[in-house]
Amino acid sequence: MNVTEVLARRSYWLTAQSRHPIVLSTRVRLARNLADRPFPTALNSETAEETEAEIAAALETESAEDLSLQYLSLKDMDDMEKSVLVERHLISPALAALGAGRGIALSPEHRLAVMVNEEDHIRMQVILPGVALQEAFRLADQLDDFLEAKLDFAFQERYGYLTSCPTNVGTGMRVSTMMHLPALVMTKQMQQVLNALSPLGLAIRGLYGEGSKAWGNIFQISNQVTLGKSEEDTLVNIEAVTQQICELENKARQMMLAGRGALEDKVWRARGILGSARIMPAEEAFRLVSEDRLGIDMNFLQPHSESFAALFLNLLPAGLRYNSGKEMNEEQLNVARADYLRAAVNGE
Amino acid sequence: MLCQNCKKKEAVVRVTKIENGQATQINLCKECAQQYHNTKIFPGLVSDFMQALFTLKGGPDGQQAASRCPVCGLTYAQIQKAGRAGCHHCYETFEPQMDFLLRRLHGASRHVGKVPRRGGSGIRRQNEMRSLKTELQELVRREAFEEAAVLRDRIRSMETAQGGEGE
Repeated sequence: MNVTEVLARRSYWLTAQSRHPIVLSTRVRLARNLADRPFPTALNSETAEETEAEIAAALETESAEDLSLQYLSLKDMDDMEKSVLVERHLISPALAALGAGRGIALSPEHRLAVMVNEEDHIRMQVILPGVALQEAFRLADQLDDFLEAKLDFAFQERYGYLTSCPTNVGTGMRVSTMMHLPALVMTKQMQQVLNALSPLGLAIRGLYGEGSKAWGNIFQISNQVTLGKSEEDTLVNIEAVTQQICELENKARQMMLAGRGALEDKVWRARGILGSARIMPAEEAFRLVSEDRLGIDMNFLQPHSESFAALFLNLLPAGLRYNSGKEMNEEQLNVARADYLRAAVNGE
Repeated sequence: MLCQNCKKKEAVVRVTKIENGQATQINLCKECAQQYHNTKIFPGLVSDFMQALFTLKGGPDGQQAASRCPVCGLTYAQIQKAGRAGCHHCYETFEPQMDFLLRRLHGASRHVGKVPRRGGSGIRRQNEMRSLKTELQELVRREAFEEAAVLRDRIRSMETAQGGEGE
């Protein structure tokens, strides 16, 4: 299987229609390092390739179906393929930018993605649709056990798993949920949410957009503390906070129903423009898709066949370029985006 | 550039704060950045503070640290600059500095959670024992003496089984 075939497959978290009206996906990431090698930042291209080979061999070992992985070295990919992997959250922009000895292992439906030699030797990630913290952790934990039997990880009784950046030391675990919060943004309550999260060692950030803006009202909530808190406590914490934010968002949505006429008009306009525009800049597309989704959630609009998460991802430049198979400038991208959205919304 | 908070000292840290989807950037001097961190005004900006944290006052003096990590060869100054350790031995080599930093970042400096199975059975047992003892103290505090007695016997039998190697 080559890179093209892997990219042609659609990730499970994108194809599965999340039944959850607010939480798009759940992600669990574990950072691990080999005990007998310097961290990737301190490797030269030769030692990086040696490390890559050692880890790739362990990753591709025959294993239970859930954990079966295909390793792809970044040296076999062109820039466009790397950008697609970045947009789909399968590799980080940092990994795509690094030199020799880097790669990614993917399971058939991309539930598992393992980055090799990014900031840490191994970063395994599980993404599932909707709220699925325990399930995502179980899968990551299984893979960790599987790899641990083959590789010797840097671990110390006192500090736990040792990582390149001190912010990941301890469990090496980062858990996040991706949430669609249009009503909290429209009713200007995001600050309140921020304040509530700060004492809990959690962070919230806009996921898309350039610089200052959270395009599409998509936010990611994640833990910041990895030392002194067990995996279980962290999972429970994130799950509870996700639940609370969902309640706040639902309340804000109910509040907006007081101005029902205006809200109904807004979402129908969004649907109208998405279904007929010929030129669609990214920022506007994100706003309209968010409003359209709010309209579906509140039963003003009929759902369409494309999943919400997939809609967002297909608006991004690398995906549009990759699907069309050619290089496009900004204007051409805006046209391709409008074409894609019309087809998706009108069910063509 | 001058610090935008005290407007006296040179700014060394740039902080990005996102509110209602709007980002604002503030340039701060070391002292003001430290103050902001202490009052936790900016949640979730830990990574932006990495460099500021590495050079915080009140921590052990980096200059007195061992000069180089014997394994990866990095100096503490290089680690400070990159905000990244070179290898896992750096955590031992520069222990006082790293410990201070970890406490600042996580509010703790002892791992709780998963232990690798390989070579980890001793640590696992100790952790289990530690949590049972904490539980025992809690039962005693609540004056749940009957339950406490059961737990105490369990701890004793575990210690005997391990050849009296408990703490």
